[in-house]
Amino acid sequence: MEATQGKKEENQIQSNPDAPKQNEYYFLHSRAERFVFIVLCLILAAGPILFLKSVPSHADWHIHMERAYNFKRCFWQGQYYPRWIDAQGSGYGLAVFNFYAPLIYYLYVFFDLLFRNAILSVKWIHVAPMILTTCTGYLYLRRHGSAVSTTLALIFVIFSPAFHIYTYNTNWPNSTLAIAFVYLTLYGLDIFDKNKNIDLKSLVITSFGYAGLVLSHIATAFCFTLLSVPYFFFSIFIYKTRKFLRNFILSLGLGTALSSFYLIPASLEKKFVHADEVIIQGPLWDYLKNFLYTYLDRDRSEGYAWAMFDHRYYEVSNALFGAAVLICMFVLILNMDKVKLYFSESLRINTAITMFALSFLMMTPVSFFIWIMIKPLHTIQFPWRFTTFSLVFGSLVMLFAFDLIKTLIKEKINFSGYKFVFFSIVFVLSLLVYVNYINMFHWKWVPEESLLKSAVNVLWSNNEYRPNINGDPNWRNFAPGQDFSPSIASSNPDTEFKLLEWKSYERMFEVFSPVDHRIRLRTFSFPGWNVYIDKKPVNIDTEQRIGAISFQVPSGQHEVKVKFEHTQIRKTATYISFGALIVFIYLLVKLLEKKKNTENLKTTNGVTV
Amino acid sequence: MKPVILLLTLLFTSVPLFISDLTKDKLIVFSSLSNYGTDFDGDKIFDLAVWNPQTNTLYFQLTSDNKFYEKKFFDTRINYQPVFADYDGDKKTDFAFFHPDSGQWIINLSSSPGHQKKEFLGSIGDFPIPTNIDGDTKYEASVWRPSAGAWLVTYKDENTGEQRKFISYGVYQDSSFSADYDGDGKTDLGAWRPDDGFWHIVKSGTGFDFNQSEHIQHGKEWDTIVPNDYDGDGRCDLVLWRKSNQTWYFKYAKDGSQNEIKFGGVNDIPSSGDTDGDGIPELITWDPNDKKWNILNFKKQETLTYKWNVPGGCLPAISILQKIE
Repeated sequence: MEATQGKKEENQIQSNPDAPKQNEYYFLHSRAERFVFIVLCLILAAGPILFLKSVPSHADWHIHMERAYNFKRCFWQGQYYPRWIDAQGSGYGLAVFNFYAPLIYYLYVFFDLLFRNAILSVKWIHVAPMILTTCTGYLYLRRHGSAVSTTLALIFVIFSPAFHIYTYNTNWPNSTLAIAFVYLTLYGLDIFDKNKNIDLKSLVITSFGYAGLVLSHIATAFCFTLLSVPYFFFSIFIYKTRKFLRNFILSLGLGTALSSFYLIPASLEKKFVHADEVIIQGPLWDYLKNFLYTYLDRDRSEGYAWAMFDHRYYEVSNALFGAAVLICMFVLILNMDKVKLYFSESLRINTAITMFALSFLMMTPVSFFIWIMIKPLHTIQFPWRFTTFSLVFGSLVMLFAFDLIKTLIKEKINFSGYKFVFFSIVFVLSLLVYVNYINMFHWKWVPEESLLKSAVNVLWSNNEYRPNINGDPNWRNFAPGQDFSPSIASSNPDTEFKLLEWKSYERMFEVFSPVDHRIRLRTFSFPGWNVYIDKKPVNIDTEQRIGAISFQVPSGQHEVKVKFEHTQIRKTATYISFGALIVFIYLLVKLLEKKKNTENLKTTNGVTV
Repeated sequence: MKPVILLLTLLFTSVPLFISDLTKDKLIVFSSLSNYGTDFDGDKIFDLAVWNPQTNTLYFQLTSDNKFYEKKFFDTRINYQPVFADYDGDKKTDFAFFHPDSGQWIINLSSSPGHQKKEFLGSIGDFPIPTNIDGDTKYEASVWRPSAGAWLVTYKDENTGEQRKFISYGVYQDSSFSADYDGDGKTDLGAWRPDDGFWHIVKSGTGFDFNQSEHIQHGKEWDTIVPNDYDGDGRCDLVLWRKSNQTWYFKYAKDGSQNEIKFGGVNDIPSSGDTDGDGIPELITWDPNDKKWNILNFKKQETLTYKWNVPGGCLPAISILQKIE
């Protein structure tokens, strides 16, 4: 299986089925036609959220609205990476974005600057990842197949369960954004040129894709990292060189380093919040209750998630997509001799089939023992998150099958069986469109004003990010919403306060008291908060029951500054990211220079010839 | 190379300064509770006033001397918002302010000039709403917390002095207000829900018992509530302003009868106040683009317009304007 240098599509089918005969028209024959077709399908898929009012009121519609709004507010206050959201916890504040991936919210800041409309901007952070996924999906699939087959496979991507569950059912635009980066990362890995010592293009694209993936959705990045192990072994069988191993480690390493300003604190500082406790122990988020195809075994009383998330919808949608892929898989498996004959890298087909099967089974109780064995998996809450990967590898299976069928058409065979396959796939696609698309109109959509107010008025309490500093096992007994304690209070009731500055991450005030006193802030104590009295740091005491900040102040007039700053971990992680960014830019410049030189060389040769 | 990096760094760090206005969303007003009044001179006539949140400056005109005043209240970088009401019972509106991020109230009592009453009540996300649930002549500082659907109202107890009462009422999407709906002289708590257009009013006379509250459907999503006693019967009427057709929709508390009047411009901010001293509030709108007051006296069937020379970004200084920008 030799890779051919300079060949545009590595795993392109040997006899190019796309080569149009003179004056012969066939569907999607031109680039413009394919483009228009994809755009029309995308408009159809994204249309409801973009053009209709509001969003469907399924699952977590309010979470991203609220997080996006507050992220933007804190960003423009000067907290350019807004780890601390002061409006959370009814004014006690939470370090939401120390743990939650920020990329989609930066996208929101951009859209809001453009539209100056919170609702429109939040709609766009659902739609933009759909567009981006379509682009990177096309890039990845096109790498492995013909243009027509890529376009057809992409239609299944656009109407896939992953797209529609994330956009219309769970309202997780960050998961949709993660799909875009999964495609990009795999594209980067698959374009590796084994004839090069270090393939800069592969390295740059893979590391960028992986960093984007981590910054989009950490749970998806974690699942990807697990799946990258079997994918690596398949790839090493294809390339059969240690250079790939080096490229693989370097690119994922650089991607990790690029995203470490978020990833490292999110991992190492997780012990300071109740995330694992809430995620693993909560009946809503227990992964054991969220396997697909167990609906009939369960009762709503066993877990809230069954009532809130419409699992029947998830199951039917995934089953239809799986059925479409299964039909394609049969076409490939039953024609393995032809696959070996026509595909330059037939192992890619095996890889796609295995990876799809693995991803799909990870959503079902069949994979129960894998879930039990790998403990960190428990924290990703929902086995159906693997729908992202069944989409990616499923679309690849379809692509290969379409290309094979197109080639088989040219052979003198009885085609009636393949016609049946074709109509079956069209039928399944129609059902998929119905379930994913038409179905949503039966759901309740949130009134727009309520959507906006859910953001402004912080509907979601984000309890999983409540600090776990004082180790109180009864921390849930304290409900910040029912607590009306003041933002600043002194043990001396006659203390005078004059506010000088009050931002999400910094509070400054002048204080006067004739006696020594203790100040209590309505702010959860969390690593990074520091107090300075007359510019000198003082010790923070964490209040035992609630976990609020308190500190001692001497008598007299003082200037107090309370600021949320970097911990050593965050500082180191930021330096790592900064260093990685320099390396990345250097590699990118080298790559562009190389590309320019190659183009110049080509031009010169052209002139000479 | 170095100067370029320096320039880019400067540019990047100063971006928020250049685009501070652009970072705000377009203004949406949810409620305009001018029923607490702005009668700073105590002549029982509404004094027009606008507040510049950027500079903490109030621009107002007293009806007693017809003079125009400009007063900067705070010389800090933080922005306060007005929560004007009569907190000392001297029939004059007090210059009271609330800092939304910290929940600090600063009340300049007109009965004791030079003295400021300061306290922290509420925190970020809470709305300050003056209430008078004990029925005396003074308003008290109270807050509505939409995230928890809860109120914390202040009242005076004859034996124990100032007390606070926690009332669980309303939901996050409500536009909330306090007003005397049943005419007993005590403040009732109300919430208008945009989802279904229902006004929910829980009365002080029932001890704020939700089971005895009133539920009246009137209005629809995106309406701005402007409750006030528009017929002078001592009961607050349920009134909305619809931006899309610039129409005021009335539902009178005394008999539930309805009325509608088209008045104001599409970009206006609605308000109401008795500008002629006849006891009936006029319909007032502030045009923030042209910096112009429009007043409709529907009793006399006359419209007045006043253009003010104030900086851009000024908003009607009414307590309280629930808004987003």
